[in-house]
Amino acid sequence: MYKSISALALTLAAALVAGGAVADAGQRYGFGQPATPAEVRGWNIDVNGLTGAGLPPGQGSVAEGQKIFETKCSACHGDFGEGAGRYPALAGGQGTLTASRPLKTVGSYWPYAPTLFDYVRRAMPFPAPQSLTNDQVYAVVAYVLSLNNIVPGNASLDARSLAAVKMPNRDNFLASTWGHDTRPDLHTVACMKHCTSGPVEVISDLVSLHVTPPETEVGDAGSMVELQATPEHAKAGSAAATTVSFSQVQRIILQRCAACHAQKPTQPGFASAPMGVMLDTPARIAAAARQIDQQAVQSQAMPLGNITHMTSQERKIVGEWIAAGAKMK
Amino acid sequence: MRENRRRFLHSAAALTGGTLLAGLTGSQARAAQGADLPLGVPPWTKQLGPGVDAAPYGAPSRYERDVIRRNVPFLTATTESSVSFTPLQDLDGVITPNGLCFVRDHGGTAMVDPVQHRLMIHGMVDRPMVYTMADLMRFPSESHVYFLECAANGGMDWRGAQMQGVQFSHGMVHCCEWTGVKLSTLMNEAGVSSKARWLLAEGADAAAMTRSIPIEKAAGDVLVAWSQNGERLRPENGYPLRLIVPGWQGNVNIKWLRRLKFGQEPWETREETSKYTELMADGKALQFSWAMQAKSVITRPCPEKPILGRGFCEVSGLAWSGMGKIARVDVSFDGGANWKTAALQEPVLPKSLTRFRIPWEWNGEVAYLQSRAMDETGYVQPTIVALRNAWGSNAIYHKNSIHTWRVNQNGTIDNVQID
Ligand code: HEC
Ligand code: HEC
Repeated sequence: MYKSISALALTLAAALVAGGAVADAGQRYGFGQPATPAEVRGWNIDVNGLTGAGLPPGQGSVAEGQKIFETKCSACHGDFGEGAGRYPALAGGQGTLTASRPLKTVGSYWPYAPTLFDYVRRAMPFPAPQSLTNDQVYAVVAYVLSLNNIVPGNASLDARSLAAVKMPNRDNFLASTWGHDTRPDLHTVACMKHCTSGPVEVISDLVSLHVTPPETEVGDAGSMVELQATPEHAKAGSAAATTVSFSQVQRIILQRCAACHAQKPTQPGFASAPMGVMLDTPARIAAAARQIDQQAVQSQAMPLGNITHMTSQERKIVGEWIAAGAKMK
Repeated sequence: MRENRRRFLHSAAALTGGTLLAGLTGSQARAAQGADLPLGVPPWTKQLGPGVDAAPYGAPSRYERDVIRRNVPFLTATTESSVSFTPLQDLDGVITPNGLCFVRDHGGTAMVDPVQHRLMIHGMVDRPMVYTMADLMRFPSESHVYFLECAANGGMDWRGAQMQGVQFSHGMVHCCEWTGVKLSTLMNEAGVSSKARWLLAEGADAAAMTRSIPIEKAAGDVLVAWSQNGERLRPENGYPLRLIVPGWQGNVNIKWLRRLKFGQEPWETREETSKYTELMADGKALQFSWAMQAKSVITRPCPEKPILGRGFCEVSGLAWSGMGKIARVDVSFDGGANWKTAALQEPVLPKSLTRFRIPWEWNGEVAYLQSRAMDETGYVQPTIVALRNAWGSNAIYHKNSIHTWRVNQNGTIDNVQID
């Protein structure tokens, strides 16, 4: 009995995979309720990016879109879609995809225009998703496309004209299909002995290259996954240390000292900053430069018990910053 | 001053027990404990503790309050579209405690009322259906242990070593025992058309997250899950219902799952065009690279867990592959010149984290520790140089290269990349 059931399951699974189709076979349990057409309509908001299938009736112009964008989008995405702060840019970047720091936007990267309608309707504006009417979405989509010079400034878009828009980067996507991965196969060999020759060559060293990006350097990070630092600028290795930036020092102090020396210490056992010394903001760090020098560079009494594992390179960097006048830039 | 410090350490030790001392060497810790320890009788032995009803839903010891998810504020504009990382450095075995599972949200954590939640199945089906949670939980269920990794795990280290700590370099992975109904069961219920090739899965969050999944995978090992590690999903991990797509990038494992629609073509959503595509050096982008390829990392020692002294040091870490079981993990102590095969903790499960361990004698010299995973398909984890040569450094996603920790002479550990 047991055997035959699992044999049936196997046959079924094989049929599913082999035919790529789902056989209408096997036991049905009959739980749940049939979805009525009205229920389906309420939730069926997806638009196919490639074909535009699912684009609703309605329309909107670039001019209308500009007004909506200025009230509901530009605070985060910039007046011209250039992106405010770390919010994503929606325009620009064409021609940068092979540069060392590509700028991926609707105009430079997105392959399909209806995807923009689908995404804005379901997820934007970020603080109030699904609050725009279909006409408003068409309008703001038209505006974002016009910011990228993909539609003219007098354009008005509806289902048909949006589906017909050809995006500049459309032909640059290589899609995997089931069983066909487009990723380069690296054929790595698992060598066990004498696999390399010569001494270990460090090509990127977090401690001496300081590649953790200071805030100002982070581009296109509305999505955290876009974060990329640039070790290139620091490739000179130790030579780079001659111009220690405040952000490097701040990073070290926050990492090595602020667990105890903060208004609200996170180190268990500390109710308040020891001896009132707070090293948790740029201003406080700069103001305490002298004391930091004494405790962490000269006597090396701090960090206490070196519990936060401050390295000698870090002490050197902090020392150089102080020697150069402990500037806040 | 010196006196002060001693007094402070003494009182901190009394206050915090082991936590503060955990980072100190043996002799420092002994000095800090003062004259009456270890033979003295500690306070918890001399008084009654709280009763059994003091913590109806238990929490870790207060001395473990450093063992938390952490985010990196400068990575993102807002915490609602951001990530907090699993503290791999503090975990043993392969199961991630629910409260420590990394969280990647695109529109914050949806706080869903399970009574109001529905799953709709429609599109190319004979019988469009709507299910309540109670309906779904009547179906036959299964439990499986699977890792779940964000496609961008390690993405900050593509161009160079940036993240000082295994929590940040590798902490976008977790591994749980998931319970739910097979998606194939629900497909059979709805009578999916033989012409359907793709499935759109949609979340009920503020991002209304959507991804396309090919029918072959959907009919395979995909689960519609309501439990993780024995209890209901945590809100931040998709409560009350999520998709579990074993071995595939985290983003397709739609949280707060509310809709499954069958169709003939992929939907080309924003999350499979603008994001979760890999930009190669030549400007082409790879799309639908779903499976997470074999990867491993040493979780101890690591920057957060330095080596406390010469002599015996157990090197331990995690390996995983979205293609199946881990077949072997090799470890190098000299930056990849020579390798030794590590022991794998049984049971080794497909598409699960796998714990490896290898004994080592540290002689106090600088060393370069690496681990290299191989899965049952024969795929071998590549070096960062090989990966960059093939992919460039703008791919963001699917960075699965061999990771290097440099052990410094004082036992501290740094993230470095070597040729
Ligand atoms: C409060 C800030 C905020 C506002 C206001 C806002 N957005 Fe966004 N937008 C975001 C964030 C954050 C993301 C990234 C979300 C993610 O990571 O998934 C985003 C992403 C986008 C993207 C995708 C970018 C890409 O390249 O993938 C588009 C398009 C977009 N927004 C359009 C709009 C439009 C149109 C409006 C106005 C109707 C709007 N946004 C209002 C914050 C905002
Ligand atoms: C584990 C907690 C801890 C860490 C981490 C720590 N400190 Fe301290 N710090 C203390 C304590 C406790 C005191 C006061 C008692 C003492 O000096 O013995 C103190 C005192 C100080 C003082 C005042 C000393 C004086 O005599 O005026 C300075 C300045 C200082 N620390 C700087 C630093 C710097 C700089 C770092 C990081 C490089 C650091 N500390 C890291 C715990 C810490």
